[in-house]
Amino acid sequence: MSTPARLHATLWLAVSLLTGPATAAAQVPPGRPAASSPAAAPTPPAAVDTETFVNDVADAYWWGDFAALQTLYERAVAPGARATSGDHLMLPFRRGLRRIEDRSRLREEEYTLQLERLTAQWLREHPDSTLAQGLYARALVARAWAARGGGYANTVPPQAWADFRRLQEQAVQHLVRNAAVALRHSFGYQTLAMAGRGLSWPAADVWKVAQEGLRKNPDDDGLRLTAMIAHLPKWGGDTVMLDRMIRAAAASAPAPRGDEVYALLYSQAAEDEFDHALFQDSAAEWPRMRQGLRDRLARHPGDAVSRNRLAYFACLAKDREAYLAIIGSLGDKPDLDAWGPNPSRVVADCKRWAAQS
Amino acid sequence: MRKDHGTGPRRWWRAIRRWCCAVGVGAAWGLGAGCAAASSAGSGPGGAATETEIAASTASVLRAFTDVFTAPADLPLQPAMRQEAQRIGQAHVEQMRTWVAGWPAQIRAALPAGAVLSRAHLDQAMWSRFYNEITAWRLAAGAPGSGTVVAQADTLPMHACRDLTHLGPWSELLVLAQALPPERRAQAMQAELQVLQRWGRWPAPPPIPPVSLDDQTRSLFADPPEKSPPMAPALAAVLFTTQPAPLSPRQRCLARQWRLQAALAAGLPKDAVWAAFVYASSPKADAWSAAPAGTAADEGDYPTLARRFVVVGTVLVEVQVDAQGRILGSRIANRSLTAMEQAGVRPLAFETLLDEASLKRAARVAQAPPPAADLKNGVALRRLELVWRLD
Repeated sequence: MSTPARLHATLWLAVSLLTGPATAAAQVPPGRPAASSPAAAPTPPAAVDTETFVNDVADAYWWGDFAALQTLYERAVAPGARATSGDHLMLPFRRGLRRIEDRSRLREEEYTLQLERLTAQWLREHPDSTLAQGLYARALVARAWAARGGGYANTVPPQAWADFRRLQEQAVQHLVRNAAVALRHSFGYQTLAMAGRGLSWPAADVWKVAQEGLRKNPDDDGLRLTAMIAHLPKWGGDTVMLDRMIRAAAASAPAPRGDEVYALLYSQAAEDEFDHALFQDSAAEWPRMRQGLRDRLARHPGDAVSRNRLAYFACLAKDREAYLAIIGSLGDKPDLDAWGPNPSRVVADCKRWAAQS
Repeated sequence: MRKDHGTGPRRWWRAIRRWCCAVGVGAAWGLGAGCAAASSAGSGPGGAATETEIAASTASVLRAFTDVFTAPADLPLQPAMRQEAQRIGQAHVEQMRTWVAGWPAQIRAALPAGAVLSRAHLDQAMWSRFYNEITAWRLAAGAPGSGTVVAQADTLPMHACRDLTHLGPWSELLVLAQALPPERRAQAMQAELQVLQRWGRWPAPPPIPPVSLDDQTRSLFADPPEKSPPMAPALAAVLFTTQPAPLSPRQRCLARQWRLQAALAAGLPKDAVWAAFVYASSPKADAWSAAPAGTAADEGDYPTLARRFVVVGTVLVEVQVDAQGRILGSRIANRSLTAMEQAGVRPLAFETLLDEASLKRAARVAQAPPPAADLKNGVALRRLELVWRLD
């Protein structure tokens, strides 16, 4: 049995034995609101400004301030923690980390080696910190990708492949060996799923890892997104298994977020692979996506990205009514990042199409 | 992410320029035509500075000290630290009032017999002394065992430099002190207060370290060994970049901290490391601007500040060349410089102003292949004595 396969086979026993029970929120059956009794429900924390939070996380990591990072992490894992974008706070937390981990214009292997050494020091100083455990594993994964480089697989030298695999295996082993702390929250599961993807685990198993993490925090959409990517055709999946996974993710999301999760995952699938051909090349169903995006906007009216995505997908789906209903709210300057490749042209074409009919 | 030094240096340069124009040293400092026009106005008979001009010059330097010892309102300090800074700073400025008032007489006394103290000369000498005393202060604070902030730098966390949002030695000291654990912080501030109270009566400053902190840690920095402390991403990103750029003041602070801790971890001689660190940490005249020290287009390779403060003399550069005469590296081996109106005092704030320009000048000197006998491990050392003068 190859090393990745061996790791894979032993993973489940280790994770399920070591990670303990799910959080109270996670024990709520799917399809029910997380708080069964309004009187008993704690007041959720106020939404945190998304960009400020991303910047604060990146700033703390950039300057090597673990105490500040730990404080931000504790806010991110607090029950009901939300950003003003509507995302669970764990998403902008990871975005802040990625801003430091993914640095272009660097000699990446040396840079990420320093990340590993820094996070290893934090781990020695704070072995009981779930954040410290997770950051170290993330640094190993960052190193693995730095070794591999961003080119096509056939451009990666054999030794770089070996390093890539070795470092990801090290990340998995670290998380599993320290699961009682490292996998206490959903945070580390995403790294585990990422490393699993890198080690070519079957997409279904990456999804299992994500589901384990979702038991700890059912709102951590970062796990669903990581699992979704593993099912994309370009990473060895196909549209049928992708659709099955997305539907399962939507079905298991806490109500009333099912359709929102469906829309989120297909929206990301478009960004990662299908682009403007989402409705031709995948099994995405526009009515359900539309409902999901509308649900999201009803709950988080300030989410400009979802507002733009709704207009963009309505145009792709040739749903004039939905397009006209949302486009006016975007003002003069749509968020071009939400309109796929060649966005200026897409915005103009959509405008012309809507005017013609 | 917080931006490096958005307003600090600009504030300083604006202030210096304002003072220059107000007191009329613009022409001498090359700070623009408006200043030049002002410089000729108001002097007494024979170009001698009037009492009003002397008072104005004294007041402008005192304002500079007040600015130095006033923590900017947006410097991220905790309330208790700000209060402590304000108390110490204000008391010190009061102390400086008497001290600075004596400078014009001392400057006049240092003139050759019969020479007239002109307004331009007075101002340049006053500013020169201002910079020199600031450098001397931080060198004094770095005395081994003093317990000051700089003497405790090996215990600072790596993120200590993050809040350094303003230039200036007092702001830096406060920000770094704040990063110390509370009990050490109190001790450090007490030690700093004692150094301030002995202003101008410190022991003779330490000599320039024979090997700079950068040179001592060059190989550690280029390829950090296993036992060196990890780098914060803010430092690793500038070190391992494919597009090198000058370090920002915060990154320079971070790099200095890392070099100190790495050198100590590598077991380099402690005294030499500390001496080099303290020297590198004391602000020289070019530390008051965030921009890299440069030269104006019409000044050749003579750095602008060195020209303004009439820094002249020789710099000895040691160059390593290979068998083909290609330059592999270089370092400053010695300096013998004077700056204007130091009246026998070592030009502490100015003695490194020609370093970078000297290294650049040395790099332009074509090297013939050395004789085989001069080569040791394929490398020969050559010494170039570079003369800097303003005729």
